Amino acid sequence: MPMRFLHLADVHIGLRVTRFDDQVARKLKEARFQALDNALAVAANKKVDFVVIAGDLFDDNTVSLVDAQRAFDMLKNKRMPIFVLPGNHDPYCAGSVWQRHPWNDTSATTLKVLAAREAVLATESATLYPCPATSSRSREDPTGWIPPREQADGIRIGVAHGSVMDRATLPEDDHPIPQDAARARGLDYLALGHWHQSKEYRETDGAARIAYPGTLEQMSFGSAADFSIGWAPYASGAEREEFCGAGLGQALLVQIAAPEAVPVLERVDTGQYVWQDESVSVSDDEHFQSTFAEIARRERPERCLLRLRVEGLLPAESMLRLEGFREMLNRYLHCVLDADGVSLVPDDSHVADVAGSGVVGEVYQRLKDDLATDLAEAERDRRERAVLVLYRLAQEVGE
Amino acid sequence: MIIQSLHIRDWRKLGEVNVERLSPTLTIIHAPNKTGKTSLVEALRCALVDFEYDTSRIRPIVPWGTSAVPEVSVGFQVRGASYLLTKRFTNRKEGGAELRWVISDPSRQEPPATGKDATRKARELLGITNSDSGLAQLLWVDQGIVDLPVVDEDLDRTLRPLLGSVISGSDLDFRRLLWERMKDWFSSEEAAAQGNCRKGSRPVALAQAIEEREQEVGEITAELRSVDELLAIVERKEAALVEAAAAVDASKRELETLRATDRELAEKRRKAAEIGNLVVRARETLAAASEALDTCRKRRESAETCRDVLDTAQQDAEPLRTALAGAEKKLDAAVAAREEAQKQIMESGKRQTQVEAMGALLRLDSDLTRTDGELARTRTVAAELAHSEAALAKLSTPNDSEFRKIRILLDRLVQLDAELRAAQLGLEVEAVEGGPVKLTLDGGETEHITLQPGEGLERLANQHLRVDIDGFGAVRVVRGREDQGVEALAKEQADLAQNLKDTQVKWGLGSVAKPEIIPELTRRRTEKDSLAERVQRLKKTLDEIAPEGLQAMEAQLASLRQQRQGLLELNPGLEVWQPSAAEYEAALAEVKALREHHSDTAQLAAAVEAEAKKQVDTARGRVQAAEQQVEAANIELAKAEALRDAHTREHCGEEALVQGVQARGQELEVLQLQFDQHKLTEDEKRIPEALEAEEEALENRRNRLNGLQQDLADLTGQLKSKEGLHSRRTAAEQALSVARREHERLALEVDAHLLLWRLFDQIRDESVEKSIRPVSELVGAWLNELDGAGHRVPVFGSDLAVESLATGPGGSLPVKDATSYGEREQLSTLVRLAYGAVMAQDEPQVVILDDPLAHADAFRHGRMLNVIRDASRRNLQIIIMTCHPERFDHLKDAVFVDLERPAAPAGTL
Repeated sequence: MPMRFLHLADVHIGLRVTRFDDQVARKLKEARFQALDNALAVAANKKVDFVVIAGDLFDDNTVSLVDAQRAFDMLKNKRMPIFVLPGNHDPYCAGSVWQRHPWNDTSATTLKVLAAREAVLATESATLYPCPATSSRSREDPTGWIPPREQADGIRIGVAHGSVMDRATLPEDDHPIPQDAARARGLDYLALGHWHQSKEYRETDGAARIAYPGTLEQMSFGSAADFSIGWAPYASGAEREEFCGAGLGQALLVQIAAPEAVPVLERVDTGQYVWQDESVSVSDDEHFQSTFAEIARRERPERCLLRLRVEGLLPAESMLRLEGFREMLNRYLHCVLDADGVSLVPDDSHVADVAGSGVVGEVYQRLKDDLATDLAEAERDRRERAVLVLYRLAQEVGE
Repeated sequence: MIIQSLHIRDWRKLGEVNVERLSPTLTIIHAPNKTGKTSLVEALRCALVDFEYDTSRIRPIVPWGTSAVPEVSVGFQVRGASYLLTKRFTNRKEGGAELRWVISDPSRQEPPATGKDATRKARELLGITNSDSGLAQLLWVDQGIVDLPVVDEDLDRTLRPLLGSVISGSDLDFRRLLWERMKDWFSSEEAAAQGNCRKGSRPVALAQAIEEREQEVGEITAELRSVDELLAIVERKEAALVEAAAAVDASKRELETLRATDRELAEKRRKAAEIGNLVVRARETLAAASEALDTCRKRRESAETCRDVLDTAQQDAEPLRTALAGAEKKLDAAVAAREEAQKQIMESGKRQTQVEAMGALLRLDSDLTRTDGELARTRTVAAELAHSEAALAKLSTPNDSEFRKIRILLDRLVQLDAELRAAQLGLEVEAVEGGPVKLTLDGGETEHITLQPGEGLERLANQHLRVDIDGFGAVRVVRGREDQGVEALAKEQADLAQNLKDTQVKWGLGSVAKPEIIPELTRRRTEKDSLAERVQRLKKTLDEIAPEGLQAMEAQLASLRQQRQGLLELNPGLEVWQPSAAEYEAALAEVKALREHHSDTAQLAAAVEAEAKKQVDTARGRVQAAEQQVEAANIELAKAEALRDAHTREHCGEEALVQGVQARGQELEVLQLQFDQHKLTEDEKRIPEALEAEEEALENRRNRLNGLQQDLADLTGQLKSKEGLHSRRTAAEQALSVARREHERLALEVDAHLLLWRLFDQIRDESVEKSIRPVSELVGAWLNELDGAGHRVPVFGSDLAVESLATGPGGSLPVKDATSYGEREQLSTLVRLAYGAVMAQDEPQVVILDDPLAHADAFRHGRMLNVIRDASRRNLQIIIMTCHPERFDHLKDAVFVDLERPAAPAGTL
């Protein structure tokens, strides 16, 4: 029977969520545990031989005891052994989470922290070659220590946390791993962590012997340079797509029949929440209303974080209605309604009517004239807001 | 609109009023007080717009005590069309309203409107709903009204087409509402104008929260940075720990090697020490033998050297002894020569003594002569001084003060005499025949005087006197009253006379007449001064001649005589010598030459003797030294020979010693060879030292290792204490992010409100300024007419009224402070007329002024009439109600209507 294991990485328990409301932030942090739970459930269902977590189980070495204990409790005493590799966010060093209670003593569990560069027998036929990170940055190839294959060796699996140097622009201090590391070190599979997007490196025979599963739970919207939760990677070149991309909330189910056999990889979903980035262009109030109605009707909004960029020209009335739509979108776990791209229609007869011909009318006219000029963004925002306030107050006076 | 005609019947106290034709410009309606002017205005208002047919309003206008139906008919023109509106004010059937179009062309005649239709139509035509609204409230002014009305919707609607934007009620509501919203953020409008949010308001609270959160995040971030620093330290410490451990291991290994080597060297070291001891002893033996041989040789050589020295000393001493004998002979000859020379000097010395005695005698004689002379002169001067001092002592003279007192005393006495004489009673008796007379003055003793024939008698008395003349009787002369002043003067005179007498006695002036006292005293003072000067001069002379006194001088003379006697006794030959200076000088020269010659001879002889003596001493010293050397050489030789002989006896001779030394040397060489074979190399010698150093190094390295382990344990402990920091930072950053978002949103909201607020006020001010301008200009021009020179410029506020009056650049005063009540009334009228004039550009407007200018003085009243006339020419129909028509006589164009005149039939004025 072929050997099977679940390869996951970058769980980031204790994630740094700073740009969301309390409630959402709590849910996003909680989602890391839920995703881990999902992964463990998959491992149990698929009856894997063991589980490898290839770094960054924790978001930082100074995570709270509560988080560290909870993760420990979830992972200890499972049916299969679980191997945890320290990554660049939780490197194995003095005072690290691994040296504190409860992670400093895993002897009574099925859990093993891969803290040393020494071969570990995962099953009777498979040996793990752990490459733990001992600092957040390093110029050293973490796989460099792995001894060459010997005749008697069974399945050789490297476990590392670092950057595969697949292009020249990558920084040199981000735990560099040569692209041919699997072949060069005589490994059947190199289970990697660090990059948040999943990626597989195929050799000429089509075999994928190096792979990143991506984050276990999504942690940003998809676009580049997006750290909208407030999280930042502990690596140089932080704006790299590997960290900016959304990831899919997945793990890899790896199956290797025998030494030097081609590994079979299967993606399994573990994510709890979907991060959706969407842009809509509105042309008039009717279009605007129908678009928002459609968004509001979507299924399972409570499992979705939506970033909705709205663009176009709208009358003041619609702009005021936008506030109402914000409330409607509260059904989503979180919705970032970015209306910076929406501008007031230059000549809004409705506002002009409400403002009248007196001083208020003159004020509106003056604001309108200003908005027709080339204003700095802040000044434009201020005037547009003033028009909306004027409109609202003038309506109240009229009533 | 122009009101063309007015007919009133049965309106309050007005019976019937028929004003058939009102002037389109100026109409003065006049009547005394309480005759219905105000009722007329009321009737006009009610007829045109105001009235509703309810009983409560009708009852008061029905003439009291009648059931008449009040009726008003107003003819007016609007936009070129004429209308006649007639209203009968009753709830009865005949009541109601009718509005007819008055058009000459019957074909265009429209059917009249009646009832409510007529009222509504009239209101439409006039553009007002009641006479207290719209333009009417501005232009129809009841008696005593000064303040301008607030702009309501009607008025706003009326004014705006011509004046442009005026602040409307809704604008004000907008501003009020805007402020309501802003009140949460700003404590006052001033604060809003500055953009300063209220303490405790949400934006301020958020800004504060942001600051606090930023600080918290900063602190946690700094702590996290310290974690990185700690980790870097740990890394360095761990590297150092590895090195230290390696060093400890190296030390241990080195120590093991060194100890093994040391153990191996122990036997070699023992053997070497044994042979070393033998070598040392052999060396000592050889050294002793060599020393004995050396001593033997040295003693022999020393004895030989001593003998050589003795021989040389004896040879050297002989010629020295010969030289000493020659020198002693020369010395004897020199001594004899020197003694001869000394003898000659003594002879010449005696002669010199004789000559010196001659000189001394000569000087003594000279001194005696001089001293004798001086003594005589001194005695003369001393006698003269004694005489002068005696004269001075005898001379009795008062000093300056006493002299002044005497002078004053005398002057006073003279004065008293004169005063007394003037005051006393004077008696002058002249005897014809002579005879005894008794005279009693002032009750004193009676004086018995016998007068000779022809003899006269004069007396003076102070108070009274009595003359008893035999055969004649007594004559008494008495003062009427006693003169006490005379008594006092007499007493003073008597006192002073006694005083003068005492003074005269004191200064020896008893016999000197009073007038001579002062000259005498002056003379004495002059003499005294002269004597005192002489005494001084003599004393000075005496001091110069005999400073030490006469006795000293006499003693000196005696001494000189004694010296002369002594000299003669010592030199008897001089007793017969007649002292002669020339003789003395010749003898002195002779003896001096002789002594010089003898002295030279003696000096030469002494020098020769000294030289000879020196040579003898030198030769004697040399001989003694040579003899001492010979003696010493003898002693040394004896000692050396004794020592040589003793050593030879002890060591059996020098030859035996040489052989012993050779034998010991050979033995030592053998032992030295053996020792060299067992001796430790330099490296081997350093082994114990290296061992000790290595043990010390090991100890140090262990200490360092322990220290590093301790440091690492501490650092690890510190790092472990950072647990949860990440979560804390995340929480703080999240709170900061929320506060920032909220603050950003709120700041935009506040900014937008502030922008609106400022824009609103700015535009309002601009708008007011722009819309009020034509009115302002007109009021300004009229105010100029009213004020004359130095007029004031009106400044309008946001309502219709003039807010202040500018009196010059930068200076203005609020209207209420700048004007009297009368002026305010006039100003109000000007403003109303100006608004009316501006509004009447397209359509004439009616201005009704009920009893205007009541508080104007004659001067300003006249000027106001000019303004009213000017206004009436600006398309205004001005109707003035007054009880003083004469005040408006100067309005030449005006139509005057007297309400008291019997009602003219309809169609007449």
